[in-house]
Amino acid sequence: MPGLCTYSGIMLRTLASLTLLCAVVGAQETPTRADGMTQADRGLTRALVQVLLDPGAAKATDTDRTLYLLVDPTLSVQSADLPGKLAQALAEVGDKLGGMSIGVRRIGDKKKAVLAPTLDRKAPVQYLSKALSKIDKGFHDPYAELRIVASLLNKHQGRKEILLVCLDNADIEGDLEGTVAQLKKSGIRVSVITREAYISDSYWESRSYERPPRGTKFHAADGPFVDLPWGWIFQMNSPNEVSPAGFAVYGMSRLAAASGGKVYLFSPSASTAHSCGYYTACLFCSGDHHQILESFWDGRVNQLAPWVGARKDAFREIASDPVYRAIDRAWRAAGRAGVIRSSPSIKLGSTSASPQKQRGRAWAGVMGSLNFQSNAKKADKVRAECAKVLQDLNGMLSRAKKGRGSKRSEAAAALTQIELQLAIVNLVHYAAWCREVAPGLLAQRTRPPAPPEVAWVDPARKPVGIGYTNMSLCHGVKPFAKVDLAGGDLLRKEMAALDRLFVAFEAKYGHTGYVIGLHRASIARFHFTYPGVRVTRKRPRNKSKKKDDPTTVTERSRPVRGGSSGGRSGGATTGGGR
Amino acid sequence: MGSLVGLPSNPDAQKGTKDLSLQIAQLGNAQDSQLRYSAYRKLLSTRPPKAVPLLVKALPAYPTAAVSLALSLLQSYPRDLSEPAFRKLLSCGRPVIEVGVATILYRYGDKSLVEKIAQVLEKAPRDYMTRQQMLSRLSYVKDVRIQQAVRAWLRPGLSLRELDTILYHLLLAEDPKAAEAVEQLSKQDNPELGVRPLIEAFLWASGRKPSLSSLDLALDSMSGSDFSRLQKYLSRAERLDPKILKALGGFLERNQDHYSASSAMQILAKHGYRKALPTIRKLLASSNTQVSKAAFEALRDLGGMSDKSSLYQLLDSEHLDIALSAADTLRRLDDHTGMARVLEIVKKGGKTRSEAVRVLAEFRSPKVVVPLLVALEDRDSAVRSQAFSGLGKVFRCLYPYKRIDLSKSGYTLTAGPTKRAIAAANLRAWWGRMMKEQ
Repeated sequence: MPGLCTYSGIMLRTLASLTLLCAVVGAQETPTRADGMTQADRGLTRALVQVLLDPGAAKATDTDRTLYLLVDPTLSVQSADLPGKLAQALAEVGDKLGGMSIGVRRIGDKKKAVLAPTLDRKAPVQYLSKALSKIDKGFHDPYAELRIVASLLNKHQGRKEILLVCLDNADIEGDLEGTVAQLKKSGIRVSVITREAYISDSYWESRSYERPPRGTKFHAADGPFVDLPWGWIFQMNSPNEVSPAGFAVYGMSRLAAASGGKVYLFSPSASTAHSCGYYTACLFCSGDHHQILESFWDGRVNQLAPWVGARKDAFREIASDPVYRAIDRAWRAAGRAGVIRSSPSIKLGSTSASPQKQRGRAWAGVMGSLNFQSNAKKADKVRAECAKVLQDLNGMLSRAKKGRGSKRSEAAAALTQIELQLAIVNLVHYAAWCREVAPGLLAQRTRPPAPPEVAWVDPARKPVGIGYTNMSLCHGVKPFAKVDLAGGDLLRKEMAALDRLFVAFEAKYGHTGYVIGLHRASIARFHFTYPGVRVTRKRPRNKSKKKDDPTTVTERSRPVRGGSSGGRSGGATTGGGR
Repeated sequence: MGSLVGLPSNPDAQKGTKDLSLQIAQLGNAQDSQLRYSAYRKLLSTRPPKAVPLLVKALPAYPTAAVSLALSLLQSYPRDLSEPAFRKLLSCGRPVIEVGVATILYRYGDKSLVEKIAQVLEKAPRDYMTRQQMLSRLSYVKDVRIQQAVRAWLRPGLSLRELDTILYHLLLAEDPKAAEAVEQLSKQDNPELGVRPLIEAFLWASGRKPSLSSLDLALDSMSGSDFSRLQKYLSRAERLDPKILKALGGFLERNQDHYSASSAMQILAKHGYRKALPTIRKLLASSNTQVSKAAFEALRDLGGMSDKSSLYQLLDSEHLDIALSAADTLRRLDDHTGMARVLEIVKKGGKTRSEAVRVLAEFRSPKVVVPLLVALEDRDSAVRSQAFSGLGKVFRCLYPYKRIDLSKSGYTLTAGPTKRAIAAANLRAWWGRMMKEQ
């Protein structure tokens, strides 16, 4: 049967090439980095128009396209006027939608409470208006809701899509890979409108006492794990909580990437105004600084895009990244030395990695008492250890073959080098403050300084400890040369080393979120602390007995979170250039 | 025996009531705005409860200009006093007041008043002033029924001023159906010049792409003052046609010194119109501070700051205020090249000295301390004041571990020249010691 054999051979070859083609197409359609599938914030209406008219999803002739809007009913979504913007978007696309049906589901509603997909263009707007008239401040798991909508969409034929609008709960990660598998199986494309994340956001890791809803975990970072060390000594904030990433939270990006959708960043009301310091006023300007390096350049930001493939693949990838391995070792060593209060979020093996629970570390106890000599000695010791960690990191990085580490790891390593050098500067400064400045300030209680100086310490109050505030590096290291800091030649030498690293970092990573983290890092300023003044306040009570006795209600709502590019509340927002 | 006939027995109380009536009458004075405002301030500072019924009685007869003050005064009272008063005024017969109080009560939470507001709006007289006042009292309530009532005011033949007031209200009240109604209106003929560009600007602001194309042509020949009517719409548009941006660039070129240039630049920057960069760069040197500031912001947003050469050139400008502005702009960009020029201008003196001293203090360097100490003795109190506050900032930066209070040296801004000179000498001596210690 030669004919049949030939036929079978052709069939097999055809099948093989089809499989190969599918694999290639599949590989092309599933990005592993977030840069190709993230759209910068250009307003809500524009994002909606793009979703409705996305050429990857729609054709003018489509008659069997179904889109479900899955909306998280939070204050941010309500204040963004989603129904109004949807009405505008629908009016703008007009007839181009063809026969597309649109359904709506409000996150948190009963399973069957949805607006079934309809061709009526007014119905989704009306349903949304009603759905968003009530908001829910609590934590919501968008993944469980996606699975509900996916099962609803299974009943429909043709192209199936979900647009998830999730501004406040993107950091609640439910069964991500399970959801991805279900979406893939059902052939559903998910696009997301969500907030911009912070680079390697460690917010929840630093608040491990907060409990996520059952079956979920908190994950606010833009990548699959926190890959940038956080919680440095004498720093009031971490770069991880102030540096806008230019990308969404990992879970959101992963959903879109795996299903062929896109992420549309949207910040409802965040300010992009620049502010040099966070929790502190700037020494070198009156709030009018124009930091041009903080406007984003797409080319640079995209090079540092986070991984959006599956987490297990990310772990395999990172295990062979010599630069990250160097960061990991330095991070652990810095933790042991007491210059950082966190540990890596993953444990590296020889070929892969696994998640690691955050181990509560503490900074070295250099501020434990008012014994200045002892404090200074301890600070000197920690500084020596910190210098060793930095030296080892430099050695490991120079040994790592060029090009074998990812660009993102290289940026994280460069920032880690600076944070270590900054810790050295702060420790030199602190030891010198203990030796030179603090005793003098205390002596002012009995020998006040000559005018125009006034005593720093109130003679009537006894200091009980040492605290610090931060002087941000937004204007660079050089301006500090004019500032009267304790530490003499040693401080000048270490500051010069810091300046070299700083300038090189700005040149390479300016116009990305990493430089914002660098600029919010700070030189510490030390001061005495005092016991609080006790005020006894009478507890207010109702004058008349009401029907029900007052009860304490503990609402499960999210904490108000501060921090952004401008050092203000309202979430991450890129510097304006992106 | 006053108490027997029901009059206040206390003569002070009688006088108080009389004063109160007088103040209420002055608040409603039709001619003298100063008298109105002074009565308002007095009543606001004391907020006597007895004034509430008197106000409720007098308010319907107040001139329009006094209505805002009276309502604002009533609102400052505790809710248990103000709310019943507002309810009494709900049917006072004057549409402006009725809409005003109904809107306040709506904001308090009484949503049932929507129908009342809508009915008053529907029956509103056609004169422009009343309607304008009613809309200003509405404060852009986003309710479908109210939006519908205001939308119904749109009709062919409206004057440019009337149309502008209604459209701007509908835009801020975010009426989703307004754009459709306005599109219908645009199909009608309206001979008045400026109506069609206004409609087009409104449609752009509402996120629509208008079929008209009169706006770019209008901008080509528009004056600065006419543009102020359109700019509030254009600045809200998320998208604009390239033709309009081009025309706006031309408008900016022709109206460089007008205050409207600032908003034109803001719009161009928002839409990334880099072709306007050469004009905007020129405007950095505008003598109008608002314009030069807007030029700076626009240049920054358009990414035109990478080239500082234009700023360096401006440092040598003969106009001292322009040179100062350039130095200050460079300083904001962490470039201290301009400090020498500012020191020169401070030494020179003249009209710009106060501004020069302010700019100098922003450099936060030991080099600026001596000139600032000298400025403490200047004859001009504005210069002295800038030097005094500037020194505070500079010392706070240079000495983070010293607490410095300049007034402890005996220096006060209001002291006589001799006392000032002695205090300044003390400060110079202290500064000399600080320099030696370093």
